Amino acid sequence: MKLTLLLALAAAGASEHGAPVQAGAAQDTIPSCCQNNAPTFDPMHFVANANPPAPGAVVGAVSGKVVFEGDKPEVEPLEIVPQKAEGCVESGSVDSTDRSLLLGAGDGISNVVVVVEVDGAEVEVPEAPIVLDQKACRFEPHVVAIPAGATVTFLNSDAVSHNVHLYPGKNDPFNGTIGAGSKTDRTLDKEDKIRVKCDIHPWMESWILVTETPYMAVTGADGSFEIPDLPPGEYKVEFWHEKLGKGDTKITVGADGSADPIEMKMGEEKKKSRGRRR
Amino acid sequence: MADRGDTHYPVPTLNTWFALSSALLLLTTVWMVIDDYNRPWKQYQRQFRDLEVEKLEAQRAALEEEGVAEREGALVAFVEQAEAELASRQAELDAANEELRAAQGEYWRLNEDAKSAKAKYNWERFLVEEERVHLGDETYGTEHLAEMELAMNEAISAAEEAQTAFDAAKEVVAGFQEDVDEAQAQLAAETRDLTRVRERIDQLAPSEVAKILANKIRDDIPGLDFIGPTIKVRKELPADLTFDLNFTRKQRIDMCHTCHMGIDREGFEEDAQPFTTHPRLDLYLTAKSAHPLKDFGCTICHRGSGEALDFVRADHRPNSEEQAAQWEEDHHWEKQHHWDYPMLASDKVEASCVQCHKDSMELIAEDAPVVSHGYELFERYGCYACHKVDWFPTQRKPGPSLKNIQTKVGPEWMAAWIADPRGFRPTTWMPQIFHLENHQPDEVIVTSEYGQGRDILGQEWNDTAVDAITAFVLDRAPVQPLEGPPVAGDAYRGREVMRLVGCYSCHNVAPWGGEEPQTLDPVLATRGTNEHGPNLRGVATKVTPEWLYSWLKEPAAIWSETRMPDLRLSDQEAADIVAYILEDPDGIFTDVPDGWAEGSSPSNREVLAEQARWFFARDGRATIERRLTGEDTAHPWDDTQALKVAVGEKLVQHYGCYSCHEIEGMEDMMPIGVELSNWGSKTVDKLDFGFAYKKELGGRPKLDHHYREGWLERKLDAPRSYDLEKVKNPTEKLRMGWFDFEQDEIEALATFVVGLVDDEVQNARMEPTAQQLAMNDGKRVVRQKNCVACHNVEPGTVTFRDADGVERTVMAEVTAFEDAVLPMPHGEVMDYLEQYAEEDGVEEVGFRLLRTEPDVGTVGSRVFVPVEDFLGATPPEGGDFVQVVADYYLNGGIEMFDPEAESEDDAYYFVTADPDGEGAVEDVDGEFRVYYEEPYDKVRWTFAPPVLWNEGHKVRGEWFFSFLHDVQPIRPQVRVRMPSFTYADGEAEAIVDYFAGRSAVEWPERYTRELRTAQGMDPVEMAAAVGISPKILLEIEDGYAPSIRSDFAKVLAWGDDQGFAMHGPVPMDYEAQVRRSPTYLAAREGELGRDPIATGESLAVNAVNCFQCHFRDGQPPPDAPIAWAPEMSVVPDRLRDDWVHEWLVEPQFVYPGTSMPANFGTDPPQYQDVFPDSTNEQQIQVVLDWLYNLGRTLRTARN
Repeated sequence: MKLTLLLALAAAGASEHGAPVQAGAAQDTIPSCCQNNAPTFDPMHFVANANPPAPGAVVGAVSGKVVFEGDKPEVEPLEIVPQKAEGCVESGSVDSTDRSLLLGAGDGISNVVVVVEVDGAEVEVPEAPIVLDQKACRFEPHVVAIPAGATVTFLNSDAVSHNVHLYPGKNDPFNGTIGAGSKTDRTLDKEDKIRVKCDIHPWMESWILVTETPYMAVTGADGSFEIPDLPPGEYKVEFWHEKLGKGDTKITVGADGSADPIEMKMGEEKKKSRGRRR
Repeated sequence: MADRGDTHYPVPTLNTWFALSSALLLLTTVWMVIDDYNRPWKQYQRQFRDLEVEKLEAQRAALEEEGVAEREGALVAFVEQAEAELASRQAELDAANEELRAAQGEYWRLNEDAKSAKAKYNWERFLVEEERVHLGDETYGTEHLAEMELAMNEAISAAEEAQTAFDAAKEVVAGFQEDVDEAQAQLAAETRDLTRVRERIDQLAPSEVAKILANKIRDDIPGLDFIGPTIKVRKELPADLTFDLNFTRKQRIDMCHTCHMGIDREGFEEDAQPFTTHPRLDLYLTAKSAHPLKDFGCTICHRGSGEALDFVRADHRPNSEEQAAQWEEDHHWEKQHHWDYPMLASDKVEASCVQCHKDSMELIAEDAPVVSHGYELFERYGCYACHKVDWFPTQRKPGPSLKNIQTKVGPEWMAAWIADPRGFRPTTWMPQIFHLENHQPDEVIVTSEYGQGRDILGQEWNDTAVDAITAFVLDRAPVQPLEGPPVAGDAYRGREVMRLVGCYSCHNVAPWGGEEPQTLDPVLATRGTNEHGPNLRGVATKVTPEWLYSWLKEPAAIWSETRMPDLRLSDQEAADIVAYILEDPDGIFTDVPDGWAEGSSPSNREVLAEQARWFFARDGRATIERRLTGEDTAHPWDDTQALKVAVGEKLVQHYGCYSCHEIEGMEDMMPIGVELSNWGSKTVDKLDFGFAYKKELGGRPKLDHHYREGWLERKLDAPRSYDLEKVKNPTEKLRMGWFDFEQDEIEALATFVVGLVDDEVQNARMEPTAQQLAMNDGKRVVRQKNCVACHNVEPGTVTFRDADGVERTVMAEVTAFEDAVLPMPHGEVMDYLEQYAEEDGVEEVGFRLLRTEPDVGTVGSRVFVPVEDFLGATPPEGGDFVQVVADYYLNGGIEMFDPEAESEDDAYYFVTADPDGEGAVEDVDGEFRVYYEEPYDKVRWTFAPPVLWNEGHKVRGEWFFSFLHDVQPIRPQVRVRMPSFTYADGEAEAIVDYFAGRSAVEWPERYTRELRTAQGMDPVEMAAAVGISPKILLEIEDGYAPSIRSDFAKVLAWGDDQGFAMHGPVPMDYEAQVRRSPTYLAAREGELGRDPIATGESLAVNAVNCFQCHFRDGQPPPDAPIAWAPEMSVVPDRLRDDWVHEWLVEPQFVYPGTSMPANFGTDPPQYQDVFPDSTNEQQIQVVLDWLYNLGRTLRTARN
């Protein structure tokens, strides 16, 4: 009984603060944030290939779509404490869409990183820094795949301070405040999956994938992707999603450059049950 | 000559005898000389000489191979060239020398003149002044004096000029020699090692024929070898170290190193005895070590006979029976029966540390682990309570108070417990007193002649005794009723409270009997720190709810000396824990070992009466009989209950229960055990080996009656065994209880007790400095309060092979195998690598540096090494409980196992107090939140107990002291409670001093590492720049304490020159208020041209936005507890500004992984609109100014 009371209080508290409630947000609409990515960098179609095909050489493009399989989970909106969001946006409220699992048309999963392993492929580090923006108290874009050695510019386009807190596996850690309108650069030179958070605005989160191959892509809103310029051969294609984990498949690029489109299915891993009482 | 017949004896016979005896004498003399030549020690020394030559030759070859010889040739040529150059300028040199001589003569002459002029002037002035007084004319002789003064000054300046000329001439001459000196110095420096090796070889094995002959004759010819300086007895007479020789103190003379030639020298580590190098030259024998050979000798630690030059007479001690047999064969070894100080076996040598280190036992733990373990066990098992050790620092009664015991347990539980404590709790420290070897169940304790017509057997004797003691204890304890929980408890919340509040930092619930737990729940395993309190399995069957509730609320009210602290539990929290334990939904607290059954002990009035007759024998038989029949109304023993209580009291006194437990009316009784203050000096003939020592007993070997240690070990293992095969009356039987020690515990305790000897070492004993004493006491208190269960005080280490193939050990935590990012508990790392790494295809191991390691990386950076180069990891010192907390949040609860589940996957599940079953954890604000997707670092730094690395540098001593006495939560979101301990006098001070001392000791090491990392130099470069040897530089970096002070001063001075700033060690008189002084603030304002406090505030509050996360004057930040950061208003009182400065520069360097961002680390600096043209450092300084005026600013704001 006590616990029910606590919960009731918690619920009352939330509505008192006027937290935006977006229960059961529609899964098939693409949030406005994700249609326009940061101006200098397009993660959907980024290839930093140091191995450009020789003129006239046969190359193929691998394309496909990642679709969700299984029971669709209910994605709750992010919890945003109003006092913390002060100054984030000029008017209205901060976008509270949880982008950790976004399903588009035909259950296509966006923000899946697709990587093709090609032996001997070299990565060309792009000269222009790759920008991870902090705008209206959200990271833009939500998932970015970059080649090892690339420099990421952490930009703060807001009028409030943010901090960028990297949780790397292999790269050196970083946690620094980026004042309003400021930016800072970090070079990430090891293959890694890096979670990025802002401790000041706990709902802000994004992922940087550092790969050691130029053949990679991030799926678009409908779950589709395309990786061009692959020489003929048989390859392993790896998929990664922050919630759904890893998957892989094989693809053959024919001698004429043709390749069958991939349809990759990903679903939620079975988790241990939680909270049952004896 | 023919026999003339006039001699007393026939001359030819005499001649024969004479010839014979001459021959015999000659032979004997030759024999003697040869025998002397062949004395074992001389043979050893010759062998050693050959061994040394062999090694030197190898060294020479190696050095030559390195090219030192070639370099030497070049340098010699260089010297020769310089000398030739000088020779070619001989004429010039001669002229310069001539000039020098002339200048010297001139200087001496003029200097004498100047002295004489000074003397004359002084004399004249005296005369003039005397005359002035006489005449009363102040002006008399003024002119004359002025003239004299002028003359004197002229003479002095002439002398000064001459000196300048003389110095110049000296320099000219030195200039000629300069090149030669420099070349020679370089030659000497670069060939130092080679020269040393060559000289030594030359000494031991000369190559020239004449020298060889001379040496041979000197060393190797029987009868002449005594001349040789290399073959000789070596001895040490350590000043004032004596031993007891039949009631006199005799100077120790140690000659051991006559044979053990390599003992104090590096390079013989791999050679066989007697030449082996001592394993710890850093600690012993060498002049730089803490125990130099000349001050300590050998026998003060090893015992044995130091004056013997013979293997057998030295009383060498075999480590095993096999070794003894080998020695008998090789050396005709036998025990020296008349030597009272037999050498200690190698595994017991640490015993000797105790005699000098009584005041520093805690400080030697790392170097003397066995005896330190023994010392800790002596404390933990409460040995000191029965056995007095005059210097032992701990005095509290180790067992719980028995006053008011009825409110805790029932009589049946108590009787069963007294009879067999391990039947209920196999890991208890309480000894078993009854049913031991000298009271076998069917042994006749009292025969029928004494026993009133029937034999009384061990079983009934013990059963009755247990019943009597139970009766007495319950009768004696006054009952003061305790209050139960005032509110209803919720078992499931109790489970969470118990888990998160910290109970399992000291307690565990490991299953009995060693069965494998079905889940990985950390509280089901023991790990040292969680064995500080008892294993709680089964307690629900033991205690009452009233007692449990009162105990949880205020432990000291029930047992004043308990180590259980007050966790400031609310009524509800305490009630929830009571509900959880007593309702026991998880089947833990009602689980008792197989075979445990409560029940009154069977008692027999006849036996009771017999016990009364023995234990009241002093009162007289007639009196006892009158009481037993009830004639004595003051002692109505016809009432069995009264008889039980009376006998029980005697038994409690007999077995000394009151030594450990507080019992009403027995508080001041003397303990019953033998005093052990100098047990180690007791000679073996004073020990009763009993009749069974020649037999094996309980799997332990038969005893050698020459040695104390075996006796002691058997005593600890089977304390009553020396009564076996003896007939004793019941009051004389041995009484020591059985503790069920493990073998390693027996060895450690025996080592400690053997080390308790008469004080023989007045002048050599360690005299700790005030700081060392504080560290010693502090370390003991920290151990006794179990601070390290929750707090990590020192990171663990990782050992790996770097890219150059060099083995390195760094302070680090293993963080990753492939793409896993959770740090792995250190204990599991090696297991994982051994068992699963290959299967998982692990290629690299990653770790995070937790201290700056020059040439590896700065603190916080990640290092990856190939799995084959990862050599090992050691656990951090303390902080075990962090894992319990992190697991709880990140798993979404405790892992449980349902044996009835359909599949294995379904069998495992997690539980929290979350009523919705989502794995949410209740926060301090009463809301449930899910944490299992948060990063480990975030959870670790937010909800787990803080690390105490360098804590003395971080917090102010005064604040720390008051915090210990009055805990005010710094981070309210942490559900683990910092306990409110009861501190005895000096304990809280000791803790504060301990951490301050640790930080001060670490200071040179930290400074040097940071400095070298900042300069990016390798050790050789930096050592050359500083002007010390690279070896010493690395010793400072490794925290090598002794003998670095003067060298570190050079490092500091050099660091200052480089403009490197890192503030000093912890000054105890640190004044936090400097930044508040009006003078300081006025100066700052002048310097900056703006108000430093207002600028700092504007930077912190508006630009950085500190209060988005930090508490402000008690106001929580506007977010969920995981985003909360500590209270800001306590900064001036709590934190040292040196530390805050380091923290603001780069928080990741202080606590890697912390959520605190580097606010002032960008290039170019940010916030120029708030503080124009400012650098990062200037911004940090104004924020510090604001922070340290915080209380004042806030007050002003409120006014």
